[in-house]
Amino acid sequence: MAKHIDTSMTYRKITDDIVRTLEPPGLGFIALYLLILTGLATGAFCWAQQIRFGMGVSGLTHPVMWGLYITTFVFWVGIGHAGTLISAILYLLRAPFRNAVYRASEAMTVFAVATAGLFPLIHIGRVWYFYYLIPYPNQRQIWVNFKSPLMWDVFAVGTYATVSTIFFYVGLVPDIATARDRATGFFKKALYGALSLGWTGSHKQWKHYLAAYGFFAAFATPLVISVHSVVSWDFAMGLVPGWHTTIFPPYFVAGAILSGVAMVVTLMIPIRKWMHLEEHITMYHLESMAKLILLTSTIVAYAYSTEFYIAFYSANTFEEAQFVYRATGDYAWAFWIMVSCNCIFPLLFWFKKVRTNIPALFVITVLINVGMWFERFNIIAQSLSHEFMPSAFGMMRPSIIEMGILLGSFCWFLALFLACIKLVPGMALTELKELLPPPLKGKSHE
Amino acid sequence: MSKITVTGVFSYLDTTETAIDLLKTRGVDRYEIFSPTIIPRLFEHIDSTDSPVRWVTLTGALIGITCGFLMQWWMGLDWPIRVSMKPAFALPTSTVIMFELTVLIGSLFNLGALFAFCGLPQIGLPKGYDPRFTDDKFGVVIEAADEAAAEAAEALLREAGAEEVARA
Repeated sequence: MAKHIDTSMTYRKITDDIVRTLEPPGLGFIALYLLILTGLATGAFCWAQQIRFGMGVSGLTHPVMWGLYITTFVFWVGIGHAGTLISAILYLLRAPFRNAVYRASEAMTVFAVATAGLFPLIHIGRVWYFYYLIPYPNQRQIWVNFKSPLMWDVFAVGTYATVSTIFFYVGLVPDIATARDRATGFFKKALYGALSLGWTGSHKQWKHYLAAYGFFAAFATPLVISVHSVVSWDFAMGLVPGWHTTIFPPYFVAGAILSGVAMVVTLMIPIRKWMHLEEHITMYHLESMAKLILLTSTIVAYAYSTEFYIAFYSANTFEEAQFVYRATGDYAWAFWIMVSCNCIFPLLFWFKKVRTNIPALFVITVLINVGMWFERFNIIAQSLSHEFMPSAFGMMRPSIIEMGILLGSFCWFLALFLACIKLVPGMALTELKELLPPPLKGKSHE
Repeated sequence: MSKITVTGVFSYLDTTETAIDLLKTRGVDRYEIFSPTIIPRLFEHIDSTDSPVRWVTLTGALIGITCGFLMQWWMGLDWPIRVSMKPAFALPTSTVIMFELTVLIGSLFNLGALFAFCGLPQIGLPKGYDPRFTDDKFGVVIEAADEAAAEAAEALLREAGAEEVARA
């Protein structure tokens, strides 16, 4: 038996198991979903309050003008990285453990980016002026400033959202066609009939599909690297101590992959149990992801150390003061949460017993995401609260409105993600079948 | 007179390949093969030529990088933002958006090419299509010009080992 799939399976079994997940949800799912919608409504209410009364109701004030919103924006963009990493880079590297987990990872990417995209809109306050960012001929007779990293970010995140959505949908089409051919009832037949676009799986379609899919993967791979590099330049191009450093692009990319892969594991563990997919998402897949977490956690730990070393080696007073403040100042607790969750707890994955223990995997991956959120908090809130002039130092205190919007963002993400995996195949059944040896006469699926 | 479609349903890859060999040796060229998953060996057996999608994608990528350059160059000069004697247009700061547009327009062209060459979206499913082709069966669908050709197609499919042969 191959590690990545049980080769005694058949094409029929894979179809049955995955299509079964599309059956109407039970009461438990509906109750959970209602709870999530309540959280989402709380977030929407808080945003509405901010629009009504102005930015004063948020905790944004001098000197930390980029507070929880930008922290959470960077967090969600980071989460959105693992999906495309798994689907594109591992596709090009022909890593077989990818096939079982890439659909849920891609869905996670698309919805994480959709969540991230809300935060610049929330942050600008007067959200109805967001179109000022779009370079189009206008009555103001001015163009956007292409030399600003914030403008690069608009293009990078916009391109990433578009390409990830296309990549996700193209991968789904053959699987939706399978769901269409199994569907009973008018609603499902109409939904899957429309979404499958009339896909039949003829040899001509597969030929062009394979070529196009390869190009999507080839485009998405450098795009993954570029997006978080560009996000890091939002900071690195500034002169704020703690931001103005050349290590930011690789440091941000590694951190994004760490948080994204951790989130995939956090989501896959309950899903495989709830949808009875243990035969398809095996311990081998989870362990492979744990190894990827271990690798990226080590890179992130190296980046944290380098930041401190360069602050010391540069002999720049402001940079040194910033990093001393980080580890020992007002927000030291946040710094040590970050170090513990991102660098120390993942070290437990060196032990196979931990890598193959599902409760341990779940807890550690949740902790990593807590740590990754605090990493962005430390970079943004700590750096801004302790810039050059002691007279301009100040603390950042989140308001209840910001906390409500933060809660709402998690609920928005979960609402989209759960609806998606309930409506379309949550695992790539076509690509799971691809892993099986093709059936030969007298030697079916050997 | 309308054409007759003959469908053969196969459970095995090797018997499907036998049917393809027979189609080639007997000079039948109006047929389609259906497969529930990606099997490169099968697709190469049918047709080893490259998909033209690549050229459309390349065209899109080149349009993207060109538009990215021209947009920033023209808009930079049309409304110069002069800061510290920096030029109104500079290539290093323009590369990010040029790259993003290369990927964006290239991907959109790639998607357009995929849809165009695959004939998507199509309303309804083609004559002779069987829903099991997306599940666990392989299919060979032959378009016959007349009754005699349809009978020959049926015989060919049975000879290859089709488990079911049907007309539509």
